[in-house]
Amino acid sequence: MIQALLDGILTGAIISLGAIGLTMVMHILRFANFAYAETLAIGAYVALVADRLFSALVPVFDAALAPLTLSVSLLLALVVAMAVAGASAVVIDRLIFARIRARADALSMVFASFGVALILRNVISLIFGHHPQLYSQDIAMARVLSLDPLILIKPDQVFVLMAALVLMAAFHLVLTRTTFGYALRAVAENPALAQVSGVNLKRMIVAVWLIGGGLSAAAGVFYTLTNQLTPMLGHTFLLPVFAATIVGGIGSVYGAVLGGFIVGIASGLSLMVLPSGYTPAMPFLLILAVLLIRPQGLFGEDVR
Amino acid sequence: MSGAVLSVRGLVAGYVRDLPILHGVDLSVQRHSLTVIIGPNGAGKSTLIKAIAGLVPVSAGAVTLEGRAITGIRPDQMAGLGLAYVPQTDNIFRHLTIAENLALVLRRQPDAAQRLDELYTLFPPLADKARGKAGALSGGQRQMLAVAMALACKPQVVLMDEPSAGLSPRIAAEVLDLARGLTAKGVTILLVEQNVKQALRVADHCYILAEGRNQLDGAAASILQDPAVAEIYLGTRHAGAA
Repeated sequence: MIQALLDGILTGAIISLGAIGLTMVMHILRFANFAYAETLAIGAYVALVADRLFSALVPVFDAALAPLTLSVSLLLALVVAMAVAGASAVVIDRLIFARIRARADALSMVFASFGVALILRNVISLIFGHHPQLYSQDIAMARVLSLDPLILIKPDQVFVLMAALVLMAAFHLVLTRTTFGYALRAVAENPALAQVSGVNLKRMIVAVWLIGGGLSAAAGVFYTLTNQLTPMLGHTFLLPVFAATIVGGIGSVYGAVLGGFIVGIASGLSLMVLPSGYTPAMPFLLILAVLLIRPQGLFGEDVR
Repeated sequence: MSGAVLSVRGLVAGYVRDLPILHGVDLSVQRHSLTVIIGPNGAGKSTLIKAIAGLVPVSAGAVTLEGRAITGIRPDQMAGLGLAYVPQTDNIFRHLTIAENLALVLRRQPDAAQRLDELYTLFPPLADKARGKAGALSGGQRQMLAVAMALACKPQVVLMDEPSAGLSPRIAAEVLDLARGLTAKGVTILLVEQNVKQALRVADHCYILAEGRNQLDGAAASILQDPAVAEIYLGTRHAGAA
């Protein structure tokens, strides 16, 4: 039970990071972006390349920061991955979504996002192949926290949880302590009023893609730190991040964070009563439950 | 009063291309005055001030502020040009605190802290609840915050879309009195109002629109006494009874 809970919290932190950007994009641009989760994969693969590059250029950076398998080069690669994934999200919006937005309705955007997701996934497969990859070949030894009940945790998992929480806390400080953060929240709540309040909507949309893409990239890197990386990473997280967004309430950053943890923990705990093959169905069940009981989500507003 | 600060000439505008709601509207707003636009539902009143604010596409005509052409400006450029707009509904950010709402609109002001103090002095109830969520304010206080946000950057003209909508008669009167009081402090106001009697009571000048065209304009006091206007807009056959 406690082990399942711990695993769920860890997965939840990763889902939360991915859902923050999605909830803002869905609310501001009014469309369900099914290509969004691919930014996790973009980030993870960019980090893979950057990690190898930094390690080759400065071999001393390749050493693991014991007891983690994480190296300095991967930490630097994480920063590069966040920047590249954020920029990729902006470029994809400019090249595809912005053009469709100007000419067609939200449904066209949704269909386009399916297409973009397929293209991105296949481009990644074409470049990196389908085989699983790892950031580090080192074996991450789990530490025994308790023998009865048996609770195991890897130092990398602790790092991932801490790092995800630090990123979320930093974003929270930006949202609540800076006028840029006020503007982001204002745009998320009421884009039209934000504009007449002097907020440049186009610039804020770019900021949202950058931030969302960056946080998703971090989620992708954090996931890959304790798991294998394949081009299906984005696909794997598509449903959980959507579930987190819907559970939390579309447009609510804090809802997305809470929703991520709820989805992660529910999926983790479901292993206790369901065969592991059914675990991916948990986000579906949560979406259904929320839509039936509280369609606006935990933090969303009833607009009926 | 000393000359027109805002002028609209032959404005043609609408939400859909080739389907205008306004068909060549003219309007002139005198400095430090309160001008009201009235008319039946669908007359194009709200569309007119939204078009002035750059929120509705303009296909012909011109809007000038202090003689400077501002036709079709981007909404986020309004404040910098000296124009502020208070929407009819959803005119505050409910999930932000009152202080955050004001900080947002003041963020580019070099004297933001001083200006914030001035706004709190002008609207004491906002100072008392500065750290509370704006969504927790009463209807009248929300309008007060919306007006404070509009005034934050010291605009030359404030456009208000039905500021009394959804408020009780007493609070509606207070909000309109607040608007009237602002003109005495040097603010110029152009407002759209369904509450015709109350609006004419506080206004200096009035424009009547119907079907997207100018029907009549004049001093608010004289329009209030006009029997035809009284019959059509005030729901009475005799102005004296209005």
